Amino acid sequence: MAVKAELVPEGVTVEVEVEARGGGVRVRDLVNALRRMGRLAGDVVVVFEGRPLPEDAVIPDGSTVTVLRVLSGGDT
Amino acid sequence: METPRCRVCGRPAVIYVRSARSHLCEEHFWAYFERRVRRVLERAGVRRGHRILASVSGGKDSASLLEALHRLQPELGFELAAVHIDLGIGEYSRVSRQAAEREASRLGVPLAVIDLREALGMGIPELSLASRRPPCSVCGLVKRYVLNAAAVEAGADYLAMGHNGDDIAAYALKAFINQDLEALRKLGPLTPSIDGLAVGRLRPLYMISEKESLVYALTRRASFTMMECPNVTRRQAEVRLKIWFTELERSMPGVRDQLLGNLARRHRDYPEPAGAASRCPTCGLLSSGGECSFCRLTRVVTGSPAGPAMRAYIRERLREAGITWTPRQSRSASVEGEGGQT
Repeated sequence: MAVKAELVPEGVTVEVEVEARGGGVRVRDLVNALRRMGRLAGDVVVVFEGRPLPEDAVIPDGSTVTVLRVLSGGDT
Repeated sequence: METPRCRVCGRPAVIYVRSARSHLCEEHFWAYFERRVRRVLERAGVRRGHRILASVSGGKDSASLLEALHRLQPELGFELAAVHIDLGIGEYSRVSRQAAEREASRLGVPLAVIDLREALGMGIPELSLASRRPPCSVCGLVKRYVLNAAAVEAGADYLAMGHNGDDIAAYALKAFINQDLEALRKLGPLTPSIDGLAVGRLRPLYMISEKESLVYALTRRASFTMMECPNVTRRQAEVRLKIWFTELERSMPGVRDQLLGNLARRHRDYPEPAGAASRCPTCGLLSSGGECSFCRLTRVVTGSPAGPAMRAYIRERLREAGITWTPRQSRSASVEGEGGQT
């Protein structure tokens, strides 16, 4: 199954092939697939139809999601 | 779509809170988040009539900070205003300033904008070049000075910062690796005021993870930018430590809370910085001895120290923003000799 992931703040959209679970794509599997592709480091928040999703959520095949990188820089 | 349900009410969850081992819906996540922020404020001694000046950068953490403080204000009875520094870093600063202004306006919180180019005739890139110091070093120095000066000039009791629990954990690990124990002392939820010289720094997001901060800002529909400062690199020690700590938290849920809880209780056991806090003879604010680092920096770059002019500029911006609290005569907060501005 394939999902389109728009990566923020990178501003890149990638298509990811993920194994089907429970009739769709589990968010955790999508995130792990992106990590294996070297696209992510640290925590992320996945947003689908305007709502953040926990990693156990399952989204339909062919969905487009936004993947927000949690990590920011900063100083004391 | 199949979504896990909120442990409290059974509605669709928006987050799994690892430290609580619970899925939570928007409403119960907000309650969890604001309860944690309120606990920090109460333990720091925030009371009715106290004045909090919140530092807002335009990013997710300061948007969450301002939103949560705004929500807790009626219940706790403190006064709230905000300050933003336009650092003059091109598009990043333009977008950040817009986000900060939109968020403050949306919440009806008075906001003073301190524009470095307007005040000093140059932004961080030029200050960095002219002083031959790395931009992050100059930026940290200038921000610490300007935020403290704004809090002093505003007559604030607390300067609220948007540092989240992952930030604090990364700073603590870095300080521990470097055996900079004096830095660990400054990493509590509150760095106390030093009478007339420095306003106490409050970290309301101390027990909030970076992910929780982002989900709170998203679900509260806060205005913020995800744009990153062009000077931040993935190689910086704090960033690498945060990534490592995220992995550790996955395999040991609650370890961040454990570190921060212990640090909040024990940070005062670490040694005080050598050398007493003193007053800068040029600008009258905090110094670790002689002229403060901001006056020294601007003396090198422009030929004359800009502390007094910066304070006058800040007073004017605060007045324009309607932040006109009467200065306190004297603060009774304990002085622990914490010479640096955290």
